[in-house]
Amino acid sequence: MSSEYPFTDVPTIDETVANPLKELLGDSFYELVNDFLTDFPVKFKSLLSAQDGNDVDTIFKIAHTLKSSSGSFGFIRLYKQLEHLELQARKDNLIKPDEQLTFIEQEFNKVVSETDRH
Amino acid sequence: MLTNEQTRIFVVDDDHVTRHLVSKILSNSGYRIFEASNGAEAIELFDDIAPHIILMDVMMPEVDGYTACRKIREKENFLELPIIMLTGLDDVDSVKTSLDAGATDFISKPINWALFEQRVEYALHARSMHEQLQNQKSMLAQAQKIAKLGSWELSVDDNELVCSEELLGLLRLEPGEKLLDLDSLVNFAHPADKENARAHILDAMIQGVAYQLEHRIICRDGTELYVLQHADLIKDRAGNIVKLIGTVQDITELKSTQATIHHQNHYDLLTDLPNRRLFTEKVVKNIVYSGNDNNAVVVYMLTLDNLRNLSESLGYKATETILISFSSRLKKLESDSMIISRFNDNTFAIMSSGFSDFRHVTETAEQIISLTKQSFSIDTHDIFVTVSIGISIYPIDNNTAEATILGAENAMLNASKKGGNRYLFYSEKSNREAQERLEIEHDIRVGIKRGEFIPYFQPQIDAKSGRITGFEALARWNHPRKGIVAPFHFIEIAEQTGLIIDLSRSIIEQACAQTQQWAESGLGEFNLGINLSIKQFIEHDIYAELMNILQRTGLPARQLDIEITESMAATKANDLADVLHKIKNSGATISMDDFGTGYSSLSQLQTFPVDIIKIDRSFIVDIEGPGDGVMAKTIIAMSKSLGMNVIAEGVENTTQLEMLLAHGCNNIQGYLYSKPLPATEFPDFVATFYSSNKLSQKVL
Repeated sequence: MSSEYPFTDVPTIDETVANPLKELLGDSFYELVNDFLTDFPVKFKSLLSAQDGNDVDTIFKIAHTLKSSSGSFGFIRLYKQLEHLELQARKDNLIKPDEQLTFIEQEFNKVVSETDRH
Repeated sequence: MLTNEQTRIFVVDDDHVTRHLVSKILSNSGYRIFEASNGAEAIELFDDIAPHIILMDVMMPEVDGYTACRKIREKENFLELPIIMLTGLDDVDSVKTSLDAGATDFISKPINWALFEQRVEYALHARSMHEQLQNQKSMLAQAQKIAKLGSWELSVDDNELVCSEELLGLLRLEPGEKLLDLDSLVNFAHPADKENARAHILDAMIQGVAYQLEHRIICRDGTELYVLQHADLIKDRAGNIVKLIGTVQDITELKSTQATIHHQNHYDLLTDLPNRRLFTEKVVKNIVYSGNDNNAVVVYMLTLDNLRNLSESLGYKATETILISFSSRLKKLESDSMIISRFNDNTFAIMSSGFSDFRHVTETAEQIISLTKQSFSIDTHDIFVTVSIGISIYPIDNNTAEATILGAENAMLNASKKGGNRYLFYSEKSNREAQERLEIEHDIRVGIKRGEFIPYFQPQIDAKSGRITGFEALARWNHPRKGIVAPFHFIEIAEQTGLIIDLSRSIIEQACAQTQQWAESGLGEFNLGINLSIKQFIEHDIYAELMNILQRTGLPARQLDIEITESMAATKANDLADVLHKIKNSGATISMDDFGTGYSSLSQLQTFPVDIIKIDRSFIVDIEGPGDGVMAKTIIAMSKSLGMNVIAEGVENTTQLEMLLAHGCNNIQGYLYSKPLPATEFPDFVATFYSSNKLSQKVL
């Protein structure tokens, strides 16, 4: 995946990750996805607050956590966007963080609708 | 290998979504899952959970994954615990830091779920294999420790030697100590075994042969151990030796046990004497070694008479005390050529390989019997027991070891039946021979005291001048029952028993006195030849005795001629020549008797101060035989060239006399003139000799 921010050419869900997980977890998959979907907005809110407070360290930590769980389910575009944010935060070099957060929120909503479809 | 249900997996991640995901996947496979949401919690819960594997996120609040990993690794017994770190895909730094912190492996995020479980299973499997290997190593080490087995490995290329801890311990070296090379190891071999050990190793390396070797080692602390060493070779595909590997096992206890078992199998517990088995082996070995020489082996079988009855009245403890005490007394008789054994209950056996004659055998039997003359003290009692002895001699009585032992047992039973306290030989012939010997010995002893041994005189004639020059004194036994007994029947026994010294003294004294008496009476001044035994030179001061006798009898030394034999000269008795020189210096002469029959050489003749050579009768007989008297002629010629006189012994007829005179030997002794005569008949012989015309008949 050589695409660049904001990773519009990357699919919302990487089926090569999500499908084996579904097979492994069966019905639990949806419970855990639901868990993620419930948890995400809470953490995202904290992310927004950190951004408002220019708290780069918190941005880095929350982005890292959300990135990790997004990737686990195969929400690959969301993963990429969070990773992008995490890396900039780690370097204390945030570029257009508001825009990035907007993209992340939009992508999360897309994940919600995509997973609803499934 | 643990089942999934037995396997405890500890999942540590602050992101509860990922943590639940991982936990759910693994719990679906049956694993027991434990969770912690950060490093601090993981450390806290760790001991209670004692997980088989940890899956841990790197970045966590409070205590991160690296720190938690490091802390867990510090715990004892969890060095081999798999800790798998969950890291970002492109986070190379965190992978390195994780491994540095002690992580076993890492799984990158996003996790490849298709492979995730296999990765975990693999890690668990590796852990299990590692644990098994460790267990096996530990068991092997334990087994080696129990077996006292050390090992070493030598790389041929660099001569580097690696020794196991057990081997270092065996050599009393410090744990972890290094030996430089194989020679350093070989140097621990006992000095007497070192070359052999080195040779085996060299052979192994040069010829490519494995070896097994038992040898002693001297440990660093000086302890001496017996070790069994095995070594084998490891070759590469081309057949070149690349390594030499070996084991060294401490078999000291085994050796000691073997020695104890051997002792128990071969020695009697009560007396510590060789038992029946060892005794029989020794007899067999002695008989085999005697080989064609047929050296005699004497077996004495001894039983303590009535010991069984004593056991019933005094108890077995008393019997044991007597057996122990008797065995101690027997041991005092032991010599290098003797084996004393407790053969069975009340029976002892003795083997002697130094058989020389029956007298020696009977003496030994008498000594054994005398051992029971002193009582055995049991509590306050003085107990007397007697002994019955059976004697069998290989190859006289029996011709195998077994038959000789059995023969001695039978003879012992016969001795016991006859009332005990005696000895019997296996065969009647041996019994008779021994009995006769004993009787003769006894009779000789008595005969000496009673003056039954008397000198006979065989004249020596100068055939040229017709004069009686002297005589040889010869011992005769005037036995009260048997009459006059020739020396053949008693000299050998007298020699063996040492009675020859007293017997000879008696003969010499009588002969000297008689010779002097004849001189004083006007019968004539005669030379007196007397025979001496080697015993008189070795065990006795013969010079002093001769001088005393000459002084007592008044016989001038010049009339005395001491006859020694060739065999005496060959014994090389240290001071024989010195004593003979002293005798000669006193004025007496020395004759070499039986010349030509033994070992004399010209050098011996020159060593001893010999005046006269007596030609043995066998060479005189040969004058009329196929040899045409060559030896007699040679001896005469040789004696003349050495300036010695010659006397021919055993001259019986005129043919012999003529030949001797023709070659210049004038001194004649033999039946031609006279047999040995008793003192009473000698004066008549002298008178008759000079008055008759014998002279004209026999002197040419």
